[in-house]
This record gives sequence, C-alpha cells and structure tokens, in this order.
Amino acid sequence: GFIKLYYILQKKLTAKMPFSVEKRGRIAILRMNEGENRLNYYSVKSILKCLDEIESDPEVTAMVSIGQDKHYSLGLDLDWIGENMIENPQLTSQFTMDLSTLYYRLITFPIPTVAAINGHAYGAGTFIALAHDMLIMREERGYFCLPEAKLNLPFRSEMTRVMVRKRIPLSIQSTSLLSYPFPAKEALKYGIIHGHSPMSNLLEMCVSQAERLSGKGEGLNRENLRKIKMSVFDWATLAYTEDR
Amino acid sequence: MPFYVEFIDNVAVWHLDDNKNLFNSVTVREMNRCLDEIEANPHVTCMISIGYGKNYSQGLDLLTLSQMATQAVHATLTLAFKVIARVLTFPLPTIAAINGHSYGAGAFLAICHDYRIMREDRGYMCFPEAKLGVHFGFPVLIEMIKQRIPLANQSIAILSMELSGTEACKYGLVHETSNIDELLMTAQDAAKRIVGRNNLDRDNLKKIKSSIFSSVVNSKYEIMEDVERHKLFKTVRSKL
Repeated sequence: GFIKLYYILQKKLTAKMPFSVEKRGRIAILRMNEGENRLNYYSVKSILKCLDEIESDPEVTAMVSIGQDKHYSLGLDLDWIGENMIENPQLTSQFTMDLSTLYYRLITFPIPTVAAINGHAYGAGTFIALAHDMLIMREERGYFCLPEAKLNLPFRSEMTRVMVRKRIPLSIQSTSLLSYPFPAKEALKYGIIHGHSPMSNLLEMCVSQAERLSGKGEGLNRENLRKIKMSVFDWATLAYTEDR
Repeated sequence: MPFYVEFIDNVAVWHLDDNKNLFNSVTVREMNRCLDEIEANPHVTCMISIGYGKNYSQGLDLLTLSQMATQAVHATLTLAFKVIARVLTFPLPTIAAINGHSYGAGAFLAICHDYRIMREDRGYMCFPEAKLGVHFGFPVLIEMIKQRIPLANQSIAILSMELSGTEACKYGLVHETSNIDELLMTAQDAAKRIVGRNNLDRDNLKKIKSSIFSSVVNSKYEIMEDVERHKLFKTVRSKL
C-alpha cells in the first residue's frame, strides 16, 4: 500500500518535471515539456541528467527526443543570458560549456538517436536536432531555422559552426545561414531531415524507426557504436576541444 | 572464371559471378586481374560492374579470414580495400549495377563507383559493422564514408540500417533504381549519357579523381581496432 503510494507519487513528480525520460519497451523517450524548451543553465543540466539516465539503463537500445505542442526547442533563453551575463559570468560560461557538451554527447551517443521535431526548432534547438542520428519532423506546422543572421548574432562556438558544415547538406548550407525558415516538406526535399509525419503519428513513427535501428535483442554494442561515431564524426571532438 | 569481363560496344561489363562475391586473397587477385584487363583495353570508354542472382557482393569472406593468422588477415584486408580504392580513382567512368545485396565491403565497393543504379524491389545495401559489434578498422574506410555518403545520412549508414533500393536512393547512396530485368540496360544507357561524345584522357581522369578524393588516396592501411574483429572471427568459427 505504502510502496504503491510512493511509486505513484514518484511518477507524478517525474511527470511534472519539464525534462524527463519515459520508456516504451526498449526505446527511451526524452520528453522536453517546458513550453518553448529554451536553453539555459538549468534546462541544459536537466537534459544532460536525462541522457545520464538513458545511458545508464542497459535495456535501452535507442532514444527518441520530442518537445511539446508547438515547440521542439526555440533555442537559447536570451532573457536568462541577458540577466546573468554580467551578474553571473561564471554561471553563464559554465552554461556555454555545458551546451557544447550536450551537442557533443548527442553526436557521439552510444545508442541510436531520433529527433521527433514536433514543432519549431530554432537556433540552438536546431543544433540539438542536428546532433541526432535521424531527424523526423512534424509535417503540417513548425519551422527549422537558424535565426542567428536575422537576430544579428554570430555563431559563437566552433561546435555550432562545425555542425552546420558537417550535418547540413552542402547544397543548402548557404540558404540555411540566411535564417531561412524551412517547413518540413522543404527540409526533407533538401535532405536536412530524413522524414516527416502528421503530428498524430509522429511519435509512433519515430519510435518505430528507433526500433528498426535497434536491430534484434539487446541492440547495437554501445562501446563499439561510440567508437564508430567518434571515428566518423572526428570533427566533433576537434571542435569540442577547440571550444574549451 | 567467377570474375570476368565482357566488352559490349566499348563498354567493359565486369561480371561478379562468384555466388556471394566475397573478398578473400584469391578473389581480390581475380578482381584486380579484371580491372587490369579493362585498363589494358584502349577502346573501352566506361566500366559497368554487375553481380549475379541475389548478391552484388556480401563483403569480406569472414569464414576464410577467421581461419587465417593476424598478419595474413591484415594483408588480405589491405588488398581488399585497395581494390575498392582503385575503383574510386579508376581512369574510366564507373557505373555500379547493384543487382542484389551489397554488404560491408560490398557496399563500399558499390559507393566507390561514379554512378550507382540499384535494384528497386529486392536486396539491401548495408554497413553491418555496428550490428556485428566491430569497428571499420581501417582509416581508409572512414574516409570513404566521409567522402561518398551525404553528410546528413552518414549516421543512418553507420547504424547498419538495411537499405532497400528506394531508401538507398532517397539517402543519396545510389543515384537511380531499376527493376531487375532492365538493370543492365539502364546501366548501359547511363554509360552512353555519361560518356557522351567525350574522349576523356585516362591519366588526366585518374589525376582528377585522385586529387578530389585525396583523403582516401592518402589514407593509411594500418588497422585501427583489432580486438572486436578477433571476437567476430571467434563467433564465425564457433558457428561452424
């Protein structure tokens, strides 16, 4: 009785948390449920903790990340950065490093990763998506966009610059830098994403792709997959080192 | 001869007719002999490679390799990957008519052709290394992935997805699909289109290809990871 109550309470608490992990069989679903899913010191730490949770579960064979309602992630929490840049420079600079770490961890994650882009992916939000192995976007709404140019901001970290060079198809890199907002159909046409789906079926499609990538039984050997990713995506290690 | 060349209208059709068309020390020598024969013919303007039946090539001959000493394995793998690199910088236009499964080294062989046509309804292209728990092992293969697979789809390829002709085309690993009955003809049509009225100087073409794909040409053939391969060979032997 008491144990059941404790379990229910735990579940309720976790469900209220903006960034949490849910399991569907062998597939871990990283849920980003904080409105616009803007990235600041706290949200990045939460996501990293979710990745820890996923990585430490030996039963998980693949991961799907998904946002909430209209937004996958709108990118940097510019308000938070504005408030803390001068008053808390250490916190802000730790946040910058943690964000690079988040990209790097996703790129070299030892299990297959699928981004279910349920809505807008802007700026740092696009980079989180691009750091996944497979990108599938909601068909009828939402844009994939690098807003840096239109916001008069540069690409501050080598990690983001190298992701543009190495994850966005060569032919469309220039257009993407112009802050062009790609709807799903165009993002697919230009090869930025790998598939799209109506919202009602998005998570199912992503989970089923994740299942397919998991293969049979216990999934791909994790240490080996990490080594393979680090060899093929050696540019990520170079960029990450440079940013430090 | 399981690997042989047929000359049709100034096009060299390289037949891979050795069942699974696996790479071992004997077959690699045969493959090089065919490529020598094609290069020695001054009238040839294009090379088409095509398998037979269910397989284009299922890659390395794991069974034979698993029974060889380490140094001999390394030597054989080096020769195998050098044949594939030779196709990448071949002094003639190359077209792969992928009639069936292309796995591992077979997939690398396919993607090192200039132009690729794959059977649409049967057979898979797959890089099974992740699935088998082994690393690619040689830097030259990593370079081939980087140079031949569209940036956004490298992840998908290395996760050992079995890609149908349609999917391989969608992800840019092959350029066209075709039904099996028309595959060779489609390849021959492509040869006509690609050769056109050009009379490409062979030495210059080889120089051009080598300069663009210099990272593959300059790659080392030292093995990066051996531990997992030993485990894989053990598994293969244990299944005997």
